Amino acid sequence: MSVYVQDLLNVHALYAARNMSLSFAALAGSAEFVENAHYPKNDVVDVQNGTRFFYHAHPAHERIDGEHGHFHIFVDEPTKPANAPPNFVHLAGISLDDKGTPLRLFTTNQWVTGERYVRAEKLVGALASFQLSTLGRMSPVARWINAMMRWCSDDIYQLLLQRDARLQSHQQGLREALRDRRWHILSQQRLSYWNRLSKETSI
Amino acid sequence: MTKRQHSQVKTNAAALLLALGSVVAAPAARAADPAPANGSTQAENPCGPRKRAANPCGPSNPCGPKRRRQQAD
Repeated sequence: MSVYVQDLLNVHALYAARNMSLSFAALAGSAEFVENAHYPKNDVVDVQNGTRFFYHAHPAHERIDGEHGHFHIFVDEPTKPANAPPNFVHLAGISLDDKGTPLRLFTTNQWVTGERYVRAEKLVGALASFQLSTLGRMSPVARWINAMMRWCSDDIYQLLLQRDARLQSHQQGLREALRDRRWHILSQQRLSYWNRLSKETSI
Repeated sequence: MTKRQHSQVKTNAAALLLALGSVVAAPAARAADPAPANGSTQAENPCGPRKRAANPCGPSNPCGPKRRRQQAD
């Protein structure tokens, strides 16, 4: 069993002991949850590791069954030339239910986040070395995301490859595909989180 | 990790799942208040991260030099 699995369990246990869930903690102390707003308000940014995330929800008709909200996780563009302005890449989204169980991983089209589009092959290193941490209230949430990104790095890489294949299939080419408003979620994978955790922790 | 530790963790996973069933559920998302007219960035990139600083070379030129006032006649 990896250290990441242990981290995932520890974070759930920490919040369960406080009678709260990961999805509650993701609201960063806010008593209410407003569609499209960012939690925390200014995102969690790990400057040292060039990573960041926030949590939010879309209007109900845009959510999958049982979804409370989702994290968007970003990394600074790994292939950026030295003098180029900083840019970011969206690695994955993670949907949660209202008890904090992750329901799915997904990727989005470029226009959804305004990211710099980078092909999956060039993100292998960013996935393998992903690190995210912060201080204060959101520290355990960051630890959970860090563990999820490492534990599911192969799944996320496959999703990014599927995203690229979908984009390549666009009849008007990549440039148009990246800004095609009909294409929002480009690849996704349902998670059987607790089953998978149980298997990982079984002898 | 020993067999004993493995089975403890497995038990922990099952116990956690059970415990999560009784924790207070997170509040459901409610519709946002009507958006102000200048919410164009949000509409363009609905899931984009917060920008760290305004674009210094952007259309609004927040760091641009003061323009000279025209001489009054």
